Amino acid sequence: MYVETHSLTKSYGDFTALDGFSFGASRGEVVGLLGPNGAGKTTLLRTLMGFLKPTSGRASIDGLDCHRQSFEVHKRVSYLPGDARLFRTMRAREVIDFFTTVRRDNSRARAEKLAYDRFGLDPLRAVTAMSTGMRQKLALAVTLAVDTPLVILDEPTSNLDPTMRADVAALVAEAKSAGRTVIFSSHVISEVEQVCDRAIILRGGKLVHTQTLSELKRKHRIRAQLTGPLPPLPASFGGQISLTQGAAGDLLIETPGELSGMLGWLATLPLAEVRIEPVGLNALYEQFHPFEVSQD
Amino acid sequence: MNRALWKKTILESRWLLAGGSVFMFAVQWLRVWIASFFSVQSMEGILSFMPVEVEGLLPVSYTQMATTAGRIAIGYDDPIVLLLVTVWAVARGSDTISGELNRGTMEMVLAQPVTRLGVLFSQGVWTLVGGAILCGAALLGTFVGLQTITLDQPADFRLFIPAALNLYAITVFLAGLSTMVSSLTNYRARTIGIVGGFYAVSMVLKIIGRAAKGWEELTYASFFTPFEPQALVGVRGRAWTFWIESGDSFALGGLGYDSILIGLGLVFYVVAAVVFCRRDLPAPL
Repeated sequence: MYVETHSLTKSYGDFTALDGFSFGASRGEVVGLLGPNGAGKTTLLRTLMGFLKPTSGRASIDGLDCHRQSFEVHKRVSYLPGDARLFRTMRAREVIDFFTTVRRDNSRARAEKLAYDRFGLDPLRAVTAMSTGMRQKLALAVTLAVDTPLVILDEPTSNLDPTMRADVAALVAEAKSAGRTVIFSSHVISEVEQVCDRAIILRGGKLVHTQTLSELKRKHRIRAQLTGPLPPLPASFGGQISLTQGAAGDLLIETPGELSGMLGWLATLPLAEVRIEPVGLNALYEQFHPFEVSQD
Repeated sequence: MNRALWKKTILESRWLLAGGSVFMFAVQWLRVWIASFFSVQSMEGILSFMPVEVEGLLPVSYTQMATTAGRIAIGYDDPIVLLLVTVWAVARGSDTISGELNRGTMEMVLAQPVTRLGVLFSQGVWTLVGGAILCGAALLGTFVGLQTITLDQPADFRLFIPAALNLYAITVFLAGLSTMVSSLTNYRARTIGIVGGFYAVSMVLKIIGRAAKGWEELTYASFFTPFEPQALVGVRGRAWTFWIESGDSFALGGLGYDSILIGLGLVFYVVAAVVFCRRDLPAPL
């Protein structure tokens, strides 16, 4: 694993922000962190960056201890904070100049191309005269221009319009195709569903679920209204499906994989109506955070 | 050291340093000009009417005041001059850690392959270099004044080097103190408030210790006690010694004063480095 944490815990007095968190991300993988505010997403990312000393447990990137070897770790990571603040005395081009000088692996040409051509920023505009979205774009440009094996983005699209969000998703896809590992946190479930290989759901500082998105895409939910009794399930289904029958003939079936075998059986049922839909990350997230689902 | 960090540090404070240096030069040049208004004879005449009790409240003795060098030296203890070095030291020291944390920019800086020590070092060295430039500007003001203004009793410019050095020593002390407090807090205003409170208490302690009989010991609790730049000018044998022993009495010399202030300032920097390298970095506030 390129990124690993083992029983990582971070406490502030009585409050535990991250509680025995263990996960890993391999090279070239895009991992999305989902959870409401206070779930521990930012604490996890800031611990990976070595900004916070773990109370217990361990975090490593490329085999290097994130806290004790943070200098070496930072050579391998490009990081965008959740609330990216830039130097208020500088103009856009000076910000780019700083970040492309401070590290040798940051390409000025790529940063300028991203900032000016792709995001449409004005190089002479002062940071103080920029909107929150513009500052976020500039921070994204200097972060994504770095050629590091790992990119960590903490809510990168939080201040961006839908067009820019799509652009960020495309940039993450580009990073993945270049073989880079990407970890990013978000409140926007559709975004994670769109670009990630794996989603991790956090609650109260704990990892409550890990979901491979390709597996999730095979899962379907079938909602049906029966007009007669439900016949017994064929033995070939092997008990892999979940079936819930309501009193008024409502039927809810959740299937983990291939639908073709089931469609034939469905056709034999006394159906008034039927609706087949992918389970989706939203429904999964709802299981762990029932009142906090983002509809973005 | 990272060139980008140096550039950023210098660019952020260039106008404060430039303005302060010009002002420092001007104040010292003006002091020479004002000193030229009185001849040594007329000054001796004026001072002969002054009561002895007032002498203790003055920055220099009557004997020193009667000389041109003594009157110019008061410029190094001038409230404006002290204010200028204080503003530089506290502004830079408080900005080093709590300022960057307060603005939320520290996280972006430390996400790069730079060490916390590297960030502190570039800021600290520039603060100390800037302090030297300010004190150098004061000395330059005196030098230019002595070269351009006709004085009744000419003074050697080298007499004022111990005063400028003492001014620099208190700059190092205040910069170190501010940086240490800065490393312990997340808010720049809090840093400035704590250092400002310490500064005010120290000043009050020295004033009471100097003015009130029986309270002399209070001066030892004030960091202003080893700051007497004006007293180091033209006093033979005191400026370039660590201490003076005469019978039972013992007094610190100019180098002793400077060693205490610079030594404490550097200790504060070391404490700041230890604290900053070990502490958690708070999320942008």
